[in-house]
Amino acid sequence: MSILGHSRSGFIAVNLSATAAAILSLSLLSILMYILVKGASYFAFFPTVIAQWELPSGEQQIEFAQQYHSDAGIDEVTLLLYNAVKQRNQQVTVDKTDIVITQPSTAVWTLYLNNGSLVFGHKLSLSMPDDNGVNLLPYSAEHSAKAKQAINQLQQKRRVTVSALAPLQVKYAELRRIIISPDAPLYERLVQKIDTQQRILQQLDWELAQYRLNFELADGEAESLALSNIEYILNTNALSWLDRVSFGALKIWYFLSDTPKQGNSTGGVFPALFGTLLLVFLMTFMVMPLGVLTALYLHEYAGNNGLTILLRTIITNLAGVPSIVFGVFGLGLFVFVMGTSLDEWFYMDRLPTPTFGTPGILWAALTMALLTLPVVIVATEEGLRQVPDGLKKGAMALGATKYEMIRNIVLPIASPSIVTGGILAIARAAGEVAPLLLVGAVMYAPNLPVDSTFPYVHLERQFMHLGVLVFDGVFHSQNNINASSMMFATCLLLIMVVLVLNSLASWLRFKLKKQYDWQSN
Amino acid sequence: MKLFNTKRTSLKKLTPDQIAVDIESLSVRLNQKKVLKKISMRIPAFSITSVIGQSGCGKTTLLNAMNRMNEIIPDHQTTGQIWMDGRDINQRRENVSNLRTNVGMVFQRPNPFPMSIYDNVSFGLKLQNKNNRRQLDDAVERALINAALWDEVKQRLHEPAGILSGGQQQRLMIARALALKPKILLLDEPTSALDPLATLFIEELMQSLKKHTTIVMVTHNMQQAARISDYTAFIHKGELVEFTNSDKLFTNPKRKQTEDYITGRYG
Repeated sequence: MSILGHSRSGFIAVNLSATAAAILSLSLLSILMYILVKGASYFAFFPTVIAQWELPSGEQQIEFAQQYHSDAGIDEVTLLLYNAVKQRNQQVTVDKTDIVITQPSTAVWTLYLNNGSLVFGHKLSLSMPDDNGVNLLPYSAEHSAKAKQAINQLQQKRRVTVSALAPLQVKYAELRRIIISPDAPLYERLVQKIDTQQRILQQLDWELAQYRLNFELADGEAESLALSNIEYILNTNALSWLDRVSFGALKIWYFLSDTPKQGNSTGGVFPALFGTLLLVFLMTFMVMPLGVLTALYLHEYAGNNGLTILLRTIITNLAGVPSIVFGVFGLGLFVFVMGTSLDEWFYMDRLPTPTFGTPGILWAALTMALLTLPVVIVATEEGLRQVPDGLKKGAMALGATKYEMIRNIVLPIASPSIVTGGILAIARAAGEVAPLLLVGAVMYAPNLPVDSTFPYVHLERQFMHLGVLVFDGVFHSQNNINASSMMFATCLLLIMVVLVLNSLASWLRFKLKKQYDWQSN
Repeated sequence: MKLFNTKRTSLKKLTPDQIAVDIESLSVRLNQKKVLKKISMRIPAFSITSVIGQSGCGKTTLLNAMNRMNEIIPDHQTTGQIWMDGRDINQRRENVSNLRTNVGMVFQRPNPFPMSIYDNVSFGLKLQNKNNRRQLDDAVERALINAALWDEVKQRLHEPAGILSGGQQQRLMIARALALKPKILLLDEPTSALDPLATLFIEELMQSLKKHTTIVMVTHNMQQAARISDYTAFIHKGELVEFTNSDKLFTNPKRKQTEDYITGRYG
């Protein structure tokens, strides 16, 4: 007697499948929890400590640092400190046996720099210039607010100057290109204007650098930083519980709205989030009409002959082609053939610098559209099959042409299935990384594909993508806790993006299904 | 209701303006199979003509030939002529959309579109770009009144058609066809999916409709054919066996095949 056939009530079979289902849901849940916990630590609060430990040489080192782990079970302490010589953060791991002290202190301030670094110092004071020269003031909320106001005014002036300078420089580059003689009056006037503006800029930069924060490092060395380089100054250990939560929320906001810093190991992910969403939307706009029209042709117009059977076989098999192959195909056809041709026809004056003949978001979206096309076609055809023949005949009998019948009856009834195809396509496109690496996604892009310079949408540009950022993050997450937690936070965001896009599409599907439910009678 | 109306004109004495459809040696092949073989018949105007016969004998194909619905089947071939209003509708230059608005059709199972009752009735009119709200309202009301459905649905015109009962839905289908003011109405077993009361409703409706419409109906129910139709055609294996006044066909059939069928020896 076989194991499953042992009892006729199927007791074992039921329990086996229930166990399998339980194991599966548990593992899914644990993956989610793991990413959630790891990712949330990017926004978590770590205590600032005074740490003193013994170096192998026998000397003692004293530093202000952020302490990551205080778990009793681990016999190592991981610290994030600021290396003033290299001017960047450094992560060190010290054996507990070497530690002399690690003590949280409210005397230590944390300075969050614009470039993503954390600087720790104590004995803060402010340098503020006025008409008589530079004054040294003790650090206080009042003085710091005053300094901030002055800095904001200067920065506003600086922005005005920079925006005045930009068109002049563009003109300068243009004149240089057509090789105008250097003593032409037009050229000279322009150079003079640029000179004036640049001098103003230098003056402003100098004035900005006068507002400084002075502090001492743990070993007593005096340091000073320009206030304009500091995002905010916090005495982290002295913060109340509520302040910590709101600071965490602020960090989430920065994560979503800021650019990545220090080689994608800290800062925010806004360009990648924007790139992912733009890619998905472009892809959807490309794949949906193409997929729906193909399915309509196959199901409604094409005869049931060998050719359509062959076509269907190709489409279903296309879904199984590894995505990297699509990447290679996109690079070969879209970038090298189509892009290069476009450059030759429309952007002759910019050659040899390629415009479309290089990986970019347009080609990436096209490649992803190709990748998700089978999914959309199959889902749409499934929906078309569900349209009852009686309704089609009914519409034809009322004088509808085939086109009118499809538009008024078939498409509305099939619309929930079409949206399902869209959901599947979006989920696939948002998570795919391999082909994107070949056709336009980069680790760091200086510009967004959409900005304020004409023509505002630059589909030829390279872009950042959340999945690619995760891929990049894996490489420097091994010895950098901050970068590692940022990578997990990016994973979490990617999951949430897919989830939000999916729920939007599901909601649409639900609405459509309710509106065009032919089965309700 | 008077069962045996002796005032009916004999089919042989029809004048040309009393003929709604004149079918001449119509043959239809569907999927390489001969379904109708050289059928010739003259369907009188403003009357109810029943078509009876076994399943698969070609009744529905005959009906579909009159508004060229056979063309939906990819593999179809029609020869012969069908004259309506002095023109042969089987000609290539015939506007099929126009033809189908003039020759309405109601199917065996009610097939309301997944729209409101109002949109169902106005569907055909909207296809003809008649979008004037007032005219649409009028047309919908008239069609629903003619289909004896107005009183039941006037309060819920904008609710989905799916909420109606089967009998109401079938009357809605008739209203949908009537909204286009067809000269001919083709009914393909309109009551076979309905209960007796709903059937009675539809039958009464057909009696009132025949004042301005020619009705051709396919039915399996011989009592129904005898009860409501003026003329009855019996088709057997794609051939027209007998076509005459209903009372004559059911009381005194001329052909042996007809007699066998109506007495239940086959079918």
